[in-house]
Amino acid sequence: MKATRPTEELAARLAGGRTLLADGATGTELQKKGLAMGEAPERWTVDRPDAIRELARSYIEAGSDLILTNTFGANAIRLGLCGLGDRVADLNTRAVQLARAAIAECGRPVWLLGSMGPTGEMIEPYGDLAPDRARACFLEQARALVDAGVDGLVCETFSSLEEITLALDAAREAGPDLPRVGSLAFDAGGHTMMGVTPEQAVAAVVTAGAHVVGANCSVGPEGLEQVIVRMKAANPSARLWAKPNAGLPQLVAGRAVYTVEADTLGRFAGRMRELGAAVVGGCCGTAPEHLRAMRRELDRRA
Amino acid sequence: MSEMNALSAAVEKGKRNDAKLLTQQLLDAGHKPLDIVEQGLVPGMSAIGEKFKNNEVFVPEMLIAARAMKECMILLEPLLAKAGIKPKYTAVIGTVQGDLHDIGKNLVAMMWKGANIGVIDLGTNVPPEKFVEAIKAHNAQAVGLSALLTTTMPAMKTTVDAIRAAGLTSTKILIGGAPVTAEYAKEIGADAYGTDAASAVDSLLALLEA
Repeated sequence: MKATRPTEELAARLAGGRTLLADGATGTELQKKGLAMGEAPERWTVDRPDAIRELARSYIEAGSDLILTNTFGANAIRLGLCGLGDRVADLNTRAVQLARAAIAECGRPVWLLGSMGPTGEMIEPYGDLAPDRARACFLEQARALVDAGVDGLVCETFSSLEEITLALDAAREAGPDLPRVGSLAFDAGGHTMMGVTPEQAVAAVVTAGAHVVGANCSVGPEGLEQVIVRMKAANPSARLWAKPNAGLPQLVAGRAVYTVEADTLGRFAGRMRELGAAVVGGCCGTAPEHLRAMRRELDRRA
Repeated sequence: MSEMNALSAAVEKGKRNDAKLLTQQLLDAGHKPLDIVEQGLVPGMSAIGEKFKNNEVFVPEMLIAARAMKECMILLEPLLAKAGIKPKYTAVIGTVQGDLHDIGKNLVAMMWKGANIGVIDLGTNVPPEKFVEAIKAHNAQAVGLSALLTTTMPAMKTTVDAIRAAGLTSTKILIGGAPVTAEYAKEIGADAYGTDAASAVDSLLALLEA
């Protein structure tokens, strides 16, 4: 059975048509499998490849149309924090291979998108990070992902328009023909940490050449829906990406627990489909059961 | 507008060159360095902190205001040191063990400095014993613990326990960070929870001046 889908078809599907289902959380799911407090998930690409493959498989089996690589923090700056700064090419390549292996095992064709997160540092003048250095880091990661064979690139969980623009620009240089997604993290007040509004985000991300723009992480489905609705109003032709958390974590017996249930995410997926979103999925706290509920809802309304 | 008010406004707006120039002019006019800090810089930082609290400005505006204040302090610090003037209070701050995020911690540190509190910044991924050592070494009256990740929140409890176990029972412990709540602060025996960097100043001063 053919287990990969042509990249060209992804571009067409993102440009219009039925809402696609992405995957759910990586970090919080790996923690359930024993990822230690503060340990970088990327480390498990080499230390626990079985767990990474298993997680990818669980999302494919839950019905994802596309999954993301375990490379959110796999740029030289973030990896440098845990002593892996010289492993960028290796960790990105291996993460793509693991995801491809999971796709092959499932025998169901899904697309694979390379995940790129922010550096965690602030760009001048707010911090010490020179724009050229940030762009070089993103380019190094994007090239490794593209060379290893992803179908597209997702720059996700950004707060700063300057930084996401640099990341998307690097993504375009690395894979000029691949679909690119730009997604920011908004707080409950509807701003990113750097004060960016959904309207500003949509304008900047589209200008930066992304095919799809959206929001992920930080808030639950209700909060994220408001951001997506504002993005749609600001640019009705924008193709939208929506990956909320399973709410804000609640403390249960001293442990942080995400409490939004699968059906709530399912209903969210239905509303996003009605809004014409290109892609829905989940971020922190969402598990395969949330994705199954989203799949059911998308299929029911299709 | 007096030059002192102009300095506050320059700090608030993050105009570092203007702020530096005004600081020098105030010094040349014979104002005491401590007065410049307390009447010029502190009100400026307090004003931007208030706007941040109300979601009128965001992290970038806070950062450039702090940078302006820092420029002024470069002129003032040697003079304060020469006159033997130290901040009234000293606080230790750090991101707890296992957590490498520093933006929130840095914002609180700069707001505390902006309120003329001496700040010992231990950085990120700080083990409990480092907090204990620093509190003792600097005779700090308070300590701030930061965490961004839900997974590293338990390290806050470990740190609180270590501080208390070391006999530092009167040290005020403040905690903050995206996943942290007032309820959690109570649960782990911290003295206060700050919702944002500006509130962290109010909380600290309320504890120390109680």
